[in-house]
Amino acid sequence: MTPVTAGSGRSLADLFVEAAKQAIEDAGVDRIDSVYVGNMMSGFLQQQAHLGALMATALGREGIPAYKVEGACASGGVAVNAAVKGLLSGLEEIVLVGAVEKMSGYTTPEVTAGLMMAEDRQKVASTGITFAGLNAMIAREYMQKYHVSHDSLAEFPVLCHENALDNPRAQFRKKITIQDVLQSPLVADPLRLLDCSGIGDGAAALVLAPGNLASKYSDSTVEIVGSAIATDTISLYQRPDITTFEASKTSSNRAYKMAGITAKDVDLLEVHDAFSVLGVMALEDLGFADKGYGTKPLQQGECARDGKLPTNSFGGLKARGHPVGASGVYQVAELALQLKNEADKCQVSGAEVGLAQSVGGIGSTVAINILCRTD
Amino acid sequence: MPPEIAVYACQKCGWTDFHDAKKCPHCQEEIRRTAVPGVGKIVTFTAIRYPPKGYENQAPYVVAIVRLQNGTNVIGRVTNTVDDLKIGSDVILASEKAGTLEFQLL
Repeated sequence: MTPVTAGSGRSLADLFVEAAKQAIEDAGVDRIDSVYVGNMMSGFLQQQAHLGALMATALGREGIPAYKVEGACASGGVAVNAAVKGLLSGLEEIVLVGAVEKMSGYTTPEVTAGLMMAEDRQKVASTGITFAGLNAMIAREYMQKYHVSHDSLAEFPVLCHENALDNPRAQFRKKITIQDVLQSPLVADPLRLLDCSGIGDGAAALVLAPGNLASKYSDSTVEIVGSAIATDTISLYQRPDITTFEASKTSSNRAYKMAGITAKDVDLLEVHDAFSVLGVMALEDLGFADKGYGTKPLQQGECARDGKLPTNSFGGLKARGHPVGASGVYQVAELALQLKNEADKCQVSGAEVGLAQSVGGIGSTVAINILCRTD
Repeated sequence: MPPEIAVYACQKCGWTDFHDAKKCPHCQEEIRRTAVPGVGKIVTFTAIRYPPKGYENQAPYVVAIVRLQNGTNVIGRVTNTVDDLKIGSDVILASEKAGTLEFQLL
């Protein structure tokens, strides 16, 4: 994982190669059979497509099969799912899955327009709405329907900023309070600046292999026991209930089934808190709180690193940073560090099973990856 | 009489949208185009203060999801200021500019 920064001035390939080389070195593998590259906006912001061959070339491994995987802000989570399927096909044995996004160096209106490529261009983006705006629509309805205050939602970014203090790769290592969130400038009413993740550059990568092969290369591994994705309507307005992401429920149920577990077995979470309300909704949709009560585990301290369900232990999208297409791989890499007891100052104790939720668009794609300790 | 909005509805399963569709994506039945009154209630809304490229000189502006009387959800602008609006407010179609619906408080 590279640090997440704004103004890195680095190229897509430079960022990706740094993360990929770290992963390859850490895994100790002597070959890579294929590479999966998650990314959302390179075609729009950098006028660069064909990231599969671009990264294979940058790694000096031209010749291997390479796939670019895109699922908006869930691109990283979907890339991990695609890589797992590649392994399960039996046609590949050692797979590199990485993801990269470069968002800095452009104006906020340019990046905002790029992110809107994840919604329906003709019907929705044409109104001038933004992703902050769509999530603000959800937040407004959620708060009214379930009688939840903005103060309560603000506990999510406060938690993430607290956790990021100990993460040297985090973009925002600064403690914030609920009052800071509520007094920050309005971005899209009722959401404010500190409800929203920022603009950053970053890349993360993993090496995947079947268990018997992985253990030959490394004595420090974790197992991906469940991986699934699901879709919902491309547009928010098409849904009967906008306070829940059906794709979160569907994909998590598929992943739980594949892993042979339920939500009760999960003791470590990375959720897609691109906006404060999404973190709270994730706790409900993934099965950790009843509908309308997603703020409860936060208020009871369960989501803190010393709680019973540590959540976004490296700072999450809000504070570690959200280089959009890359975030899903950061999440899985962070879960892996935790489960291998290699999380340094961010380490939680005793976690066995971790779940990462990566959301694309306005819940239109959700990827779930579940990891388990192997020792 | 309020201005009308064209909506598209499946005669079999009830699927409905406000943009043109030839066949129902769920059951492949023929879609019927009907004109319905351009009045409805606000489902939710926001005010955009950091707009995307191309919309900079319009901010701040309000965007809302509106449920029309026949049950079809649409998305469009509302010309009133955000402080005057509530979830459930009644709105009426004021105009349609470059394919974007513009409502105002009834």
